[in-house]
Amino acid sequence: MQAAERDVLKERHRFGEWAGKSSVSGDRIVRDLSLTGVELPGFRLDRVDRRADTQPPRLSSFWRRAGTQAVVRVDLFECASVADAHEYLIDALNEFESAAIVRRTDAAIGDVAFGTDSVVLFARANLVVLVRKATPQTEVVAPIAQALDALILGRLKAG
Amino acid sequence: MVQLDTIAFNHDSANAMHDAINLRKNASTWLPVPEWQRGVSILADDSIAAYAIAQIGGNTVSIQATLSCTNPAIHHAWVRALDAVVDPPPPPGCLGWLFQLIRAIVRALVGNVLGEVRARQITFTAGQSGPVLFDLVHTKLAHAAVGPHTTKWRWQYKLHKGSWVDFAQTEHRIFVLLDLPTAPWQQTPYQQSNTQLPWTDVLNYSCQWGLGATTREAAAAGVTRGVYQLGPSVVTYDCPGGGSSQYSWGGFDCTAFIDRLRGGLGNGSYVNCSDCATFVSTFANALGCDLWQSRMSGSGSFGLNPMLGIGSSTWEPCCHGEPGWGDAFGYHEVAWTAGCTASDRVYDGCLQVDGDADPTGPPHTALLPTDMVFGNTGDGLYRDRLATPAGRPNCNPQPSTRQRRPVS
Repeated sequence: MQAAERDVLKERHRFGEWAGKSSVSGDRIVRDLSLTGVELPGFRLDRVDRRADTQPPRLSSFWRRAGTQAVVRVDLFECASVADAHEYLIDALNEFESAAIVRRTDAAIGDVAFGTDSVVLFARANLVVLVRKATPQTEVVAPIAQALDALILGRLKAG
Repeated sequence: MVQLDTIAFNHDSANAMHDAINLRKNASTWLPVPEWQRGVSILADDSIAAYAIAQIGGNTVSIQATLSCTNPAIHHAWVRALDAVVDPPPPPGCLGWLFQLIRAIVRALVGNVLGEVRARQITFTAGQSGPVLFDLVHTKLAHAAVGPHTTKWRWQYKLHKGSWVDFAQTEHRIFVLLDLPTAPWQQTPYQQSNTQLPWTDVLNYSCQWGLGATTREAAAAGVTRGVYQLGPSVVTYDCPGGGSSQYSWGGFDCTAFIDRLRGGLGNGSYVNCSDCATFVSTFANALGCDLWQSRMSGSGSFGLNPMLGIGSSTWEPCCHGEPGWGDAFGYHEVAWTAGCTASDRVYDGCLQVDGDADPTGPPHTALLPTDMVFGNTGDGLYRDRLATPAGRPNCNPQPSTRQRRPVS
């Protein structure tokens, strides 16, 4: 992304209001987070793809709602620091064609979160997490994002 | 007695002027050469090769085969292969001459693109021929169109003063491309670690979508139609997710897309414009087209005219009424030619615009943007058809975003 483009996005999403701020101390970061399938009750883990060759490294997972064909996709981006994660949030927002994906402060997810009932993008410590529908479904995804956020916080507390 | 052991179509990986191009099956699977092996290759899809028309031109095409002979008394034989479709074994009796005439006509009309294998004498040493080059005759590559073809050969040998004897029949899937695939596809280095060699899994779809094309424009248009027509059964626009990239985030997850095309989950059923631009350009470039993925945007979002987004049958600004949308795009991305500027042409597999004199309101005339100049405000070209009059100043080409995402 060009610097000018990044500046436009930062201004649109009020980067200065949330950049660098985290509920956990800056030296607490999560490394090599893995998913085994027990993390999201009511879902069955369909597939996990770990991409260490991307920047930042990415863990993509696909979760099928029990008893349905509905699938939710979760992407975890492992950044080097809180500051890097917040910069990467801007890159991630640049992957949304809609200009109306805005910050969410109502759902208590992450250090900072964006999205709607159907898609949640948030940062917690050094991680950026994207939760979205991979197939049509009526259920909201915020509870999934909250469960993942709790998992990350648990990992941070456990050190 | 005489048997065919292997056939190599891509026997010279350094160029594609006399033989097939360098290929692999997909990201994880290598395509071995020789492509045909006795006892291994049964169906046409077990023996795949692709030819680039512009490279072949009027050159003689050759294959490389190895043969063996179980009779130690035989040191020489003549070997050839006929088109098994137009040259089946002839009927006996006086119908023979009529049969010859008919098969000449059939060959002219429907003969396979590779034609036949010209007869040549083979020498067996300790029962082995070693690699032998055979020229192809009656090939149709120079005047062929894009497409998947099947070649069936009826192999024959002849001993001194003897008659021709059938000894093998082989089938091959032959992809005809306009030219060498362009980036992200590569021809070098030709080694298993290079995942950017053209994938036969991709050519299988590219050649179907671009079927019959003899120009880059027609091939790219065919691929664009093929991608758009994936909606709604295979993919649909990602309204719930705010139009987020599902297959093109950080590179093209082509493996997942092919899985989706084959009926699997892939990365799911939702796509956005970047995904579609990547599908179109990557699959068209596999045929020898020369497209890029590039964005249009401005200092703010741009309002949208009514359209038919991929998978939708309702004329409305994209995702009208959905949470997280405002009848506008923050950016849009398409497959684009040359420098990806206002004077260059776009191929948009993500949506159909209104193609009539007034694209801002009904009635609507569906038009898939293929080979359409992006244009300037007031030109009545792509920009005017996509964006509202008020939005057009923020719908500007961004050639600095021009890219060709690598495949994985």
